[in-house]
Amino acid sequence: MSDAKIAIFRRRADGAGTAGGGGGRVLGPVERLYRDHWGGLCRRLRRIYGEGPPEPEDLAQIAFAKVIEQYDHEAIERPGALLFRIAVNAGLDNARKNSRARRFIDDELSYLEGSRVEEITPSDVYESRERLRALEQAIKALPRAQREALLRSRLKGETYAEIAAAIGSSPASISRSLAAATRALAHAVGDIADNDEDKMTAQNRDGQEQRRPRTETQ
Amino acid sequence: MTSDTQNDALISEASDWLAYLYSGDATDEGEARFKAWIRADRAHEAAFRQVNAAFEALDQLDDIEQQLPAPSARVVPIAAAVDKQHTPWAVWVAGVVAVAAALLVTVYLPQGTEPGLADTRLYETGVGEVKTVSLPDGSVVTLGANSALSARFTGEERDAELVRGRAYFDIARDEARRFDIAVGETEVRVLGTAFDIRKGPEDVRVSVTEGLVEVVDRQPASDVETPPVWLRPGEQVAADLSGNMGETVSFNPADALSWREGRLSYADAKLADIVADARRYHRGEIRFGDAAIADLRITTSFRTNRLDELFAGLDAMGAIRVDRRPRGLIVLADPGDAFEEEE
Repeated sequence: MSDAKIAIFRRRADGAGTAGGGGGRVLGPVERLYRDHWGGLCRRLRRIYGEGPPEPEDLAQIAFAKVIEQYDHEAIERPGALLFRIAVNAGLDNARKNSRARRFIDDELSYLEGSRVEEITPSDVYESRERLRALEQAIKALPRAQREALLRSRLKGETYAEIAAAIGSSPASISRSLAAATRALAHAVGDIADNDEDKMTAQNRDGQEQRRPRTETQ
Repeated sequence: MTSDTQNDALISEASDWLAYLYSGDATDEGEARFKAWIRADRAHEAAFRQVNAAFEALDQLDDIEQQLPAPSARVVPIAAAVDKQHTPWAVWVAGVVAVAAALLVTVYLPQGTEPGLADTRLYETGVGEVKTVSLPDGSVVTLGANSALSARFTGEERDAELVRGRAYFDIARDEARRFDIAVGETEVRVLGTAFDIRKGPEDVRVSVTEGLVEVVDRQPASDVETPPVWLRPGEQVAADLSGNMGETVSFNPADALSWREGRLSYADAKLADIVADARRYHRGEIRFGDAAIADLRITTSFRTNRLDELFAGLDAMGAIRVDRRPRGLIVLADPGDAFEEEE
């Protein structure tokens, strides 16, 4: 039945935005979110994953479900960006080694954070627009091979062996590319004063924490 | 000046570490060395945070995916596959799901005459209701909507049966008294652990979050004894209704157990399975207008008191068409078919 699945996702995959004819029908917020962002999100994911796996529509659906569940989605400043971010993260969950590395780093950083800062989840903190612009410039300035290695690792979660096989290189050289790329990015954003005011979802984080209490108290 | 150079050197080191950790070849020993490095000096930590933050922020950039080369060949433009539009289903009225009045029954069945035969208790929940109950041995069971569990305790044994539905068990440890749970033709045996059992229309699924759980076929078809399956945390096994077990797979605890917080999550699940669960939270009938769509595979998540979100999502994706009828009847149809009747 996987054929059927693909078929159904394609049928109206550009969203029901022009599903007029209904005349005067009021769209609920959930339907509006789908209408405005489903098609665009799927297109962005398709650029990364092609037909998958993971399938772009699956990731998009995970992202929608999360946003609908955890955020006041009418108050989000840039729902498209948030949806994309969640979808990419969901995609990375499928890349075992990559998600293991991310977890390891998160654990270590929060360990170091200790009691100094409470309740800040780094992945929830959005960068200031200024820093993002600097980052954007830095990416564009990277040599092509570095850029591709960087994004394959960050967006697709590929290992260096996988990247090397895909673009015809060696894991060691991919590793060097990645280190060089992240070094350049860190310098680019490091020059700008820290300013984390511009948080896309700051007002939602607390509500989310309350709704999903950590039950696993070991 | 010196500090700038120093800082550059640290950023360089930090970048090398990040590249190492994400290589796919990082070892335990390598990770230990990284820990030693980052813990040695606040400046190391600061440098690593700077590199990591830049790396992590990449997915916030508009159109970042455009920086990747286009994926090869197989891409079919979405628009080309879009076919005719259909009338969207009527807006859902909030509160479609009637939450049943709390219905938790404890029935004391007649006591047996044999010595040591303890009372059997039946725990039940109604449609849309999730309850947590404490068993006499200190175990705690969260019972899903429209589910039933019977439990019988003696000095030597702890026996239970999941009659229908779903339950999450947090079993009190008792080395001397094993806890056995019968579910159809499948039996789950534990000493003290935490796990989830879902009795679905087509299978029984056991998902373990803590400890070690033994799952056995109660009546193997062949005379060859089928070995029990041992599940560790993060592992799941499904048995068909005859008790035949499939492969042990890993599962995502956050998804599999979210029903306890009033949410159901599915990754690549059959629509039939999703609807089977949804029925436990909906007072009226949910019917397939078209049998073929029951096999659609769907990834979704919804609040159990807001089934409208589930259906809004599926409808917006074009996966199914939802037809609401009087008395809570919901008919799920292939969006390609026209409605045969108006009401």
